[in-house]
Amino acid sequence: MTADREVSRLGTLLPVALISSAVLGYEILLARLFAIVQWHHFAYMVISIALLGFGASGALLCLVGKAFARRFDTAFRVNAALFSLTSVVSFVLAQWLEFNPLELAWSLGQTGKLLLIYLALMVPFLFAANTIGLALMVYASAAGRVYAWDLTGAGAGAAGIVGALFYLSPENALLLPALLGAAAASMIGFKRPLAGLGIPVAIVSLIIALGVLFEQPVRLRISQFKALEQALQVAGSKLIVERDSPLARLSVVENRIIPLRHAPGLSLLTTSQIPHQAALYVDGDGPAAISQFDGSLDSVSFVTQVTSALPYQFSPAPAVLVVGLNGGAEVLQALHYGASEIDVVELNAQLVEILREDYREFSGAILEREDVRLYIEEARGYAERASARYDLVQVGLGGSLVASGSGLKALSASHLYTVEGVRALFELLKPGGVLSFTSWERIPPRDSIKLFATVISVLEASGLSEPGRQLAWIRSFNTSTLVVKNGAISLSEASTMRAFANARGFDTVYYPGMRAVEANRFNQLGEAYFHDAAKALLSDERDNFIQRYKFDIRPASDDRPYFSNFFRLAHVAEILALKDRGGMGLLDLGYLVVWATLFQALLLSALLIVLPLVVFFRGDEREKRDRRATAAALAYFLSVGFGFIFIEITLIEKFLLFLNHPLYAVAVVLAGILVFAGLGSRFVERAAGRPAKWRILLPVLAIVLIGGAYLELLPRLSGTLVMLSDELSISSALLLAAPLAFFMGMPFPVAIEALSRKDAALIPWAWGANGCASVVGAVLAVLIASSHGGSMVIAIGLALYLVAGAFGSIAFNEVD
Amino acid sequence: MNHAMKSAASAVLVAVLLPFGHQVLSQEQPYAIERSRMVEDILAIWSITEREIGGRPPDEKVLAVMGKVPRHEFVPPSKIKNAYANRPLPIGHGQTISQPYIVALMTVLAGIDESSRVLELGTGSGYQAAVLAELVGEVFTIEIIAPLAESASKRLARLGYDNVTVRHGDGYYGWKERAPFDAVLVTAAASHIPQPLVDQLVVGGKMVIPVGSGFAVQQLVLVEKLGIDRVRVRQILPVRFVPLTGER
Repeated sequence: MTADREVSRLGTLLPVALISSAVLGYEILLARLFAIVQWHHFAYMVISIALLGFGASGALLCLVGKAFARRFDTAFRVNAALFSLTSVVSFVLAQWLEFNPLELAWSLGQTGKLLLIYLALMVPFLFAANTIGLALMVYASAAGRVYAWDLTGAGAGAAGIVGALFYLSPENALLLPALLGAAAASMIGFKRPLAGLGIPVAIVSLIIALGVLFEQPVRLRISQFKALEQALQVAGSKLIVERDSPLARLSVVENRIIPLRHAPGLSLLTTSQIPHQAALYVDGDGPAAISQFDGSLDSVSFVTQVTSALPYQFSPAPAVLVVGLNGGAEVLQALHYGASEIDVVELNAQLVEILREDYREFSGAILEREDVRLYIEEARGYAERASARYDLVQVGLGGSLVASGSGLKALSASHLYTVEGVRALFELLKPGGVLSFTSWERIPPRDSIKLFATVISVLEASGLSEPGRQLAWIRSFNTSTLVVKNGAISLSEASTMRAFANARGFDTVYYPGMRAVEANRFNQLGEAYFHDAAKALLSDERDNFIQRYKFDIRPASDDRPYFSNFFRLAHVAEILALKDRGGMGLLDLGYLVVWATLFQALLLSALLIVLPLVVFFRGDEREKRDRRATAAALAYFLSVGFGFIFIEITLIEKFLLFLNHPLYAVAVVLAGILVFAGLGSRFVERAAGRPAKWRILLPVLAIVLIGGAYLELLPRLSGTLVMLSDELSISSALLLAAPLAFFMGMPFPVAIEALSRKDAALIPWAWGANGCASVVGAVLAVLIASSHGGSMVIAIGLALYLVAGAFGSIAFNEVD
Repeated sequence: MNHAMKSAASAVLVAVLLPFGHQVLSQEQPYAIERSRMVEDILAIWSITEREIGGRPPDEKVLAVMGKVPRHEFVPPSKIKNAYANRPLPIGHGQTISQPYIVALMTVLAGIDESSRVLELGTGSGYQAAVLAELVGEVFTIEIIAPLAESASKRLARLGYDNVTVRHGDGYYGWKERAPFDAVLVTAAASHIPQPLVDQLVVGGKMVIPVGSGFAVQQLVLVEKLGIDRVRVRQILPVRFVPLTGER
């Protein structure tokens, strides 16, 4: 170990930052790529496990680290170059395996392919982690600076890749991490600026030349079971538009021979024709339809024959807010019903561009009309800030399409469908106005029942003792529309609504004064599940009903914003046993995948942490090692790893609430947290000379104090912060994150530096354990947040820092 | 000892049968056993889920046909080993061959007899059409993916299903020239139930639509045409599952 080696900015720290930047960018990019070729939740699982490459690196460095450290520059260069190479090759290999997650429950072969994908993708992370781990080993006495550049590089990588994805397709952007890796490989060991820059310039030029030569160096092999691929198989299909952004890949397909006819839940009794439509896919999932509109309202009369037309029975010529542009279906509906003004709030600017540019003529330029105003922002933020009041707030299927991107429903936080979010939407209503939600329905019912429970909570919290008087709910065989009126529903309104439903063969699920015999008439289920649920939720039996329901239908809250999580672990065995009996549809795969990920990550992490122990406690090494201090050091690094990731993830999730453009803002805030943590890490060296015990305890106490204050403050501040402009809200998030992140950057490098003086051989082990804790912690944070809320995750994170403080004082008690 | 005797007896049996056995028989024999196992599986599930599917008893004719149609002919060569497992299988082009239990259930729900004319939308590999062809007079089937339509057409002809007509094209408007139908089976996903298909049903006819993906059917929708302008829709969970704990 060469702890006294001089740390060079250009030749050591910059390459570390470049690799960190590459690896975080690569991670974000993989998530994007797998969301396109597969589905989001599998992307999550694959990447989580692949990140255990960091844990594997710890184990590897324990075994061969000393040999690597003796020839640090070469070892770093080789590992960085291998990262550069394998970042592309591993993805190509993973694609080539043609893994089909949908068959996972049916076929053992798919499990094998999944394992191979894990292995393939773990490789680049392993090489990248080797470089940083090695740098920490060799420059342990300057661990603060190394870690600072590592974190800062990671921050720049996160922000950089999101920016790059505006200009590059994800498959082309795959060259960027490779490029950074190559640059790091070239620069390691340089002493003077410009000296020997020839090699990096040559490598970088070569990669760029390759990128230019092969316009699309990596071709995506998208799962044949994704809706877009299936549509493209149909004779006559043409891919007309494809637009990428960091949010999603949008694709539009047209077919003049076998056209799309998309009208979810269309009445079986209608004679309305569906106009020509173009199919819109988000990350290959969908479709949503862009309907051809020549200005003749008769040509789109089908919009009156779907459940989402219900709210228009309550108010003639309303002022409407459409939440989620979808393909423009809800705007057409508003036009058809003669809305006096139409505001649309949509997060995805690319979607708006498609309707305004590529499909301007086709869609009848609906977004150019004077009575249509567009707001490109997050719906929740708009609801909190808007001063306008509406007769109708329409959350259509597009609300969920855009909010969830594609399929990642169980995992994705949505602040729109929480009790607080629904309240914000409800408060946009004029007296007598209606808030309407249309959702896809599944059997047994889940989504709409949870929404019904949420709405009841909102109305009761507003002091209404009889929420049922303001609710109306209908359904078709696959969609359901729930209407909440700002005021009591009158007898005549109930009668109009009944007539609307009867004429279209829709079932009334609930309205004030509805009789049980009216339920379950047109679309008959074995039992009147929907109506029975509505009655139970409006009665004193509510808590008992929610408790006994086999899906999680507790209303979501801002602290637990996972509306689409219906998974209850207690019933998973029953559902899995029904697989062969046609019960696969009961499984909410998204959430099961999180549990599967946790299980796998725990298993692998345990292996990766225990394996090096075998080396440490064999033969002559056994005698000289203090087992108690070693165990305390392990507990310390695990606690710090878990604590950091728990707080980081949850803090960002909490900030989502008041950031208007979540993805971009998250990139900036994540980068900010990492950079501030880097600053904290850098500061550590300045405090050198004081006992390690105190250099650990003081930041830990600061973290607990600041974090504890945030637990109290954040919920109160959110209401104010959400009203701020984009720039101010991002700045506030950064300001809020700064002090906590600053101190969170300290405990890891302090302990690494202390280890270097006490038991340097343990450094790679600590590095690996920290990596494993980050992976398991990220998964665990989601699971705890979905069941107990984000505040609980932060509280546990803070407690873990306290635990770390206690173990740190045991492990590093004697280190000065 | 007992085991050794059994093995010896089997060896003798094989030695005696082999020289006389027809090649097709020897190829078909293991599939026949697998098929009968598959039928047993379906029967077992049926008894458990009978209540959910409206108290319908298992239809002996349908089960007999499922025990006869060579499902292994309808799956890609790489999937033959799983052809008779009670699971869906990919058949290429992003399509699947349905789980045998779901095929049996859809066939029973269609309420057909030997005189029925049936329209199927989504031919796939042609397995459902073959099962129907064994039970009814005529089957008309439409597939929107050209290579699938072509291969299914050839396969069905090769296997002697001459009462099946395959067409490549758009199924939304049904098959007007061949209408009306006693039953319509839609095996492709749809955002809504196409009205033209209801029009082409005879009064008393039934339409069955699975909702969900090929690998995970959420529900089966049964549309019954009660009169010229009267329909009844039933949503059937293909599995016994009560959403509240403690209820049976």
